[in-house]
Amino acid sequence: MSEKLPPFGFAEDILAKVPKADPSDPEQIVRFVEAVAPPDKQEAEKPVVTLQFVTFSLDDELYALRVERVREVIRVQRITRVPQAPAHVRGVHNLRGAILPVLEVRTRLGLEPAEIGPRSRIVVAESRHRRIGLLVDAVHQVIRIPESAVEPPPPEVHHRLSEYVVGVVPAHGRLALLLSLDKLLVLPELAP
Amino acid sequence: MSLEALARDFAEEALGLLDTAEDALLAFEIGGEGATARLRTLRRALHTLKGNAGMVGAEVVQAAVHVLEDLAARLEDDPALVQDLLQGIDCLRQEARQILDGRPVDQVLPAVRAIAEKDREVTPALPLSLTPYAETALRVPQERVDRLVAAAGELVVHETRLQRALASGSLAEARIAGDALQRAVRVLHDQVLRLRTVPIGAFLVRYRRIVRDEALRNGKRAELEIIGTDVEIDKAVLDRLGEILGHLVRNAVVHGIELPEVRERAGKPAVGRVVVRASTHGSQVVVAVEDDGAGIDEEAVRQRARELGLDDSRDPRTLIFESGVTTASLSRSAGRGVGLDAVHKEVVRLGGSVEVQSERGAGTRFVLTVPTSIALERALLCRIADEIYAVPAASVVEAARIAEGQIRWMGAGKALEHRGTFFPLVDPETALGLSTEGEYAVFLQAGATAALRVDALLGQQDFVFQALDPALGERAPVDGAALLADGAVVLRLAPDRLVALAAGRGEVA
Repeated sequence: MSEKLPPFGFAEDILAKVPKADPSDPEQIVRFVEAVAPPDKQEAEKPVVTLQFVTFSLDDELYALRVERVREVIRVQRITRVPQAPAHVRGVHNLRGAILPVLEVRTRLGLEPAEIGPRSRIVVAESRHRRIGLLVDAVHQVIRIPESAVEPPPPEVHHRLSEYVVGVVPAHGRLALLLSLDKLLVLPELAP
Repeated sequence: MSLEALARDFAEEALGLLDTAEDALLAFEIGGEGATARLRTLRRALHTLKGNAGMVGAEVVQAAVHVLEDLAARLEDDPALVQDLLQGIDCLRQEARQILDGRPVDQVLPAVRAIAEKDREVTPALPLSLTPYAETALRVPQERVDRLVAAAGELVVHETRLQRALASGSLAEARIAGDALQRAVRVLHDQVLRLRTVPIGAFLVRYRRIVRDEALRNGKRAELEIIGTDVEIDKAVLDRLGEILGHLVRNAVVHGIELPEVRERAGKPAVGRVVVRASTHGSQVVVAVEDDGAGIDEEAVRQRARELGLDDSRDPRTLIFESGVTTASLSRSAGRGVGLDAVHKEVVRLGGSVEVQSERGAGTRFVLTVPTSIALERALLCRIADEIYAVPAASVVEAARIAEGQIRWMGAGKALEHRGTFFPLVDPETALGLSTEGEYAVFLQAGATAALRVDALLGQQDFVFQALDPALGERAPVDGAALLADGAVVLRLAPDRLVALAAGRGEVA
């Protein structure tokens, strides 16, 4: 990869430039993070920890996910419904020949199921060597903010959401609810 | 051995010999060292072919090959005969393919007969009438069959041991035997898959001809180099990969290699080089098609992407695989390019991937990565309500049009009266969450037989099914997924679960 990735920009563009993920290669996560966040010279001097987030929306609400385990963002082609699938599973989608299960983030958070539109995206995340897609209404940017700017979740968060919200981060002049990928990926049916 | 089997063997071998002959001929045409040796190879191949034709009583074919042998003997004095010989080889190849497809040996193609008539006189064909053959044959080395037999023998030994352990009630012994049996099954599975593998080189030589013909047609000069001829690959993969590689090789000549004068101006040799390079990486075969031509005009790709309303800031190396962005736009030579999106889709359907590397002025390289072997499974595509499903063809006993009157209420569920028997009907609502009044029924067999009502039958296709993530399939009446031609995912229905569901209706409630 000759060109350095920009520290800011549309998530899809940045993620598209990241070298192909290989699940058998544990180094890739490091490379991925390095690629998205080229080591900053200033950082070496001042120990300011910067975190990366992908921001997306459901309806008008803004959300954020840590970027480390996000592999890519893809457009929605056609999601095939899986009969008798567990709740919150929207279906399966083609990911360059692989079959990607797609979760419905909206119903998980107590919203109505998504209507697929031109801005709909699937955020592809990796969890225990499995790829899982998260269906969202729109993906915005990859943002970098100092760790100190991440606040704990406000008490106003409804109990239904509180399970998934692990903090708030400033993004695009607003506050975004920071979601836990691990919690989102747990399927209730499979939980012990 | 029956006459049919003889004819099929003859045709199979003939295709191989014709490939060898053609390869030698094209190499002879390029000239240089070893031209005499190539001529010998050519003559030997033709001679063997002639003898084989005689053995199956294909006397017209025999006479035609004899004419080609005569031409080959005069080749050194008259190199222009290469063209005649190539045409003759093409005719014979067509003849062999038709015999493979089941056409009787004595119905000779007019073109072959015309060649044969150049010989002194045609001997009338023997009255052999051969029955059709549909399946394609595969030549398997004896040694592989032997290993297979040995592996099957192992299986029996461990099975006996397991039975004995179970009879004696020794769990520890049973476990040991079970492990051994498992290993033996793996070995057998591996050997069976290997039956279908062939060296890739014998297949790749045909691209020499494509390179030559395309270069000639486009006023270019090009030669093909094949590296990694020993790489073994599943014939089923190769059959599907063959067409894709053909496109890429053709594209390399038509769109990659420049005209001789352009090349010389750029300080390159006038004769362009196309390289097909095969190698194995674990369970994957990597085939690269490289040329030393002009490379991809990234600006032209972006331009075309803009015209199509695509995001032109994306990497051109991924853009060229989008529908509508064809290789024709890469070189601005009009309309002859094969859409790389089609190449991409086909490779993906095989469970592989394709990448492109290119440097302006230095060349282009397409790298295909495909699995060494695939399990193709035939399935019947059906539409139920507005969804499409694949039903494994092996489980389909029958598909028939039905009338509403055939559907009978049996108390706890419905049944379909068909040919004097009641078949339990799969309730689409419970099984799939769909409601249908479809006028077709697919009869599925998995232990018992049940009927599944569908709205339309969309034909059979071969698929490479992948397992579904277990998190999805615990309860689902589907057990696999494959890709349709348009890239959408199609699910494979699990006949056993559907049949159980239909049969169990009466006991529930």
